[in-house]
Amino acid sequence: MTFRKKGIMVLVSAFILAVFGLFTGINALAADYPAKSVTMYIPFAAGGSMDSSSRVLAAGAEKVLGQPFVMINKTGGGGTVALGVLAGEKPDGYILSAGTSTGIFRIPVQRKVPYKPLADFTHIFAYAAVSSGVVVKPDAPWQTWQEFVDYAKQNPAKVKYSTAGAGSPMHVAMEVAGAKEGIKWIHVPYKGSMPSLTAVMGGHVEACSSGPKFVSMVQQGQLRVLAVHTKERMVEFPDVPTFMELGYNYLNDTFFSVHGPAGMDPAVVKKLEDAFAKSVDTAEFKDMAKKFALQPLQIGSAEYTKILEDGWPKQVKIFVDLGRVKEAATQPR
Amino acid sequence: MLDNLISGLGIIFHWEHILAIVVGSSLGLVVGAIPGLTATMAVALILPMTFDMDFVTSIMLLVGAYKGGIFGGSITAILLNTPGTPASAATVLDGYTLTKQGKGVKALKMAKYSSTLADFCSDLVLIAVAAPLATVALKFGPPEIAMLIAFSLTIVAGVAGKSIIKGLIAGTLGLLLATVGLDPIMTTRRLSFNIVELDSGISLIPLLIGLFALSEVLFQLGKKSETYDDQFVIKHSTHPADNRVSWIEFKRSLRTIIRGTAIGTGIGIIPGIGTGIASFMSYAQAKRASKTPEKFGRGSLEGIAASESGNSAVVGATFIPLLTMGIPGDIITAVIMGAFMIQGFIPGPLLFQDHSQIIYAIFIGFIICDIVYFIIGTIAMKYAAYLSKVPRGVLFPIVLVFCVVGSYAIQHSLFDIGIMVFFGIVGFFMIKFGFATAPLLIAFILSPIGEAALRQSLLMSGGSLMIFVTRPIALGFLSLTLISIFGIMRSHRKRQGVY
Repeated sequence: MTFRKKGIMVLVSAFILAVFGLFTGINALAADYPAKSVTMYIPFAAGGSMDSSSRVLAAGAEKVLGQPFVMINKTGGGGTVALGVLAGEKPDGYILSAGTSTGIFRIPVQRKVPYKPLADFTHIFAYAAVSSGVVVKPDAPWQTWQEFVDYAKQNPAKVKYSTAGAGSPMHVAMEVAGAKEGIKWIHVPYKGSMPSLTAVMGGHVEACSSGPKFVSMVQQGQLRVLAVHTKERMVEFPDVPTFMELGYNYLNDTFFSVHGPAGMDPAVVKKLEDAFAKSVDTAEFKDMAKKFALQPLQIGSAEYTKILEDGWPKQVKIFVDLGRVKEAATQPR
Repeated sequence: MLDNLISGLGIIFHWEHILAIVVGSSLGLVVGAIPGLTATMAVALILPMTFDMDFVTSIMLLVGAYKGGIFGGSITAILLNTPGTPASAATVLDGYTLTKQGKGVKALKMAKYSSTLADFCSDLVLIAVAAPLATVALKFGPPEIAMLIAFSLTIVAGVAGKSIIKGLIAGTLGLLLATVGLDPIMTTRRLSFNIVELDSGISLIPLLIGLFALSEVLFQLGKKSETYDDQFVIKHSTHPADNRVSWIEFKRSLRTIIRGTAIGTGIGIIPGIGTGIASFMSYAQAKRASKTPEKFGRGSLEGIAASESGNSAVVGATFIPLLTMGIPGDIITAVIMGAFMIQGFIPGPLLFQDHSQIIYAIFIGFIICDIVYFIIGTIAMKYAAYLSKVPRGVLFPIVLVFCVVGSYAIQHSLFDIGIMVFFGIVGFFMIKFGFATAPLLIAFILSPIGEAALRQSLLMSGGSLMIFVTRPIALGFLSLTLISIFGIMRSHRKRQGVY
């Protein structure tokens, strides 16, 4: 065969192969998804509630999708490092990240992050809500929230409360309540939930505005809960009022969720939504949620995206009103 | 309590649990002994595997890896000047010097004896007094911790090496580096140039690996082999006295070991302090109390006994605030706490009430861990002798690879590798200019805890410094700090006077 003929044959074969390759590429996107294992980043350290809950969620989803999830802890920045990495990945559905709504519409308002929270992601699914509330020592003199507020009013700058960190919903809640009631109380931030709770148990502060860990401690009699920050009254504490009921227009809207880079195929997103929804329904998930005091949710992509987009201007307003920022530190789009 | 112990014995002596202890300890020991890899990495990697296991098995696997890892870290600290965990950083001070003198095996054996003895005693304390001690620990609020940290910072003087001024400079650098990131109270970004990876601060493990391990690799790179023997880094003397610890040597260090155990246990009980400091504190105190302080840093067996007993005693004791209050002292204990919680065992005083048999079974498992890693350590040490036959040109590139892997693996972060390289270069220049690296590490570990505690205290007191004087425990540590500073200045002046 002459060189020329050989050359043309090679060219034609290459062309045919390339066309086939293209087709398989397109097919792999939706109908065969997932054709290989899916990687999911976990933005918090091993052993915590986000780490454990996302692993259980993934384990349930694996059974539905038929492919394994590879879970990788990528910690740092309160969850922003993993999201930052995710923003730059391909939206083929094989790289996802767990995350919190805090990483989308709270942290970026307070400080600059390397991603555009509303534009850079496909928000896929919200699978749990965290509960939070205000607790005091069991032998404290205040039986109700109102008694506590009255005491704080009569003793300005004397009441100290601890939280797991400044800028968190628990901190903001107390500041909002304080502003509404005209109380000046002192915020003592700690690093993490447990230290903030032991601070109130040890009598170093009068109250703690705490995340979910308080639930088991109240049930064990180590703390008393005066008010909660959830949307509705908590099943575990039916007599305890919510902040919304008490007239403070604030609730803790921290969701645990799964995100992907912007521009994912809607068919792939739907598959993931279904898989996660089924995973939340399993006994293992409900069991884990109970252990970590999380409330299981099944909020799909469209609804969750709306929550985040509506929430953005609200969060900006809250932090501007509290004086923490003059404007949002990161542009959402 | 006795019947709980007996039930506990019954629970722990099942083949899966013993297997978990052996596997965990061996894995931890091997990983810790590889320079550049850390116990932290071993535990973090094992955790996901434990989710489907029975509770006691999973905890024993993790705790075995923890204890084995700390001991393994000491092996590499002694032989290669590359500590496997922050806890072993004090062991390099005398351990590596002994290795250079050919007495590496002696150092390893002393480390083994001190570690196991201290670990064992601290586990006994854990079994006997965990629950009641928890109420004491609750009394430690920010002012107490702030003063304790102030006192701990004075130990920098004990490890500053030849020049106190240079040691102070290194320490100050450590304090400064620890401010990088979000500040603990207002979450304002400091010194991080908007680099999001620095928001949580500079990662400790990459800094440790770079500062101690990579710097040593770089330093070795610069050395020329003048003779055939020079290329063997780990010298191995065949003189029998250099390869064992005689009873007399051990007895001389016994008091140091007891003191180290007490210090380690005390530090472990305080919530949130962590294991990094115990070994340094024990070392500094031993140096102060010793009849031969000038030997410390020059190959003193007492120095090894001090740092090893400190870093082992703290491990058992650190489970007290972990289990009774749910406050972890460092990443590893945080991971283990996660393992507890995901199996449904929530830390708190009720943990002891409702599940006392299982908890005591685990405590007995701790003691079995000690025995196991003593045996495995003895076996491992036989192979340590072979390392002395590996020429430098082969050994250190391997170390370098593991340094990179070990830095990446903690957070799956390429940025952390950059941190490791940066501090490797920093450490290299520090060595070249006669700065001790230990003060930087100590200050770096202590500063975040101390700053947070100081500012929390001032928030609590409304800005008044009197809070450190009106609270008795805080006042106690404040006095200790002042006494310590005074003592250091006096001995420094004495030394100047002699010359």
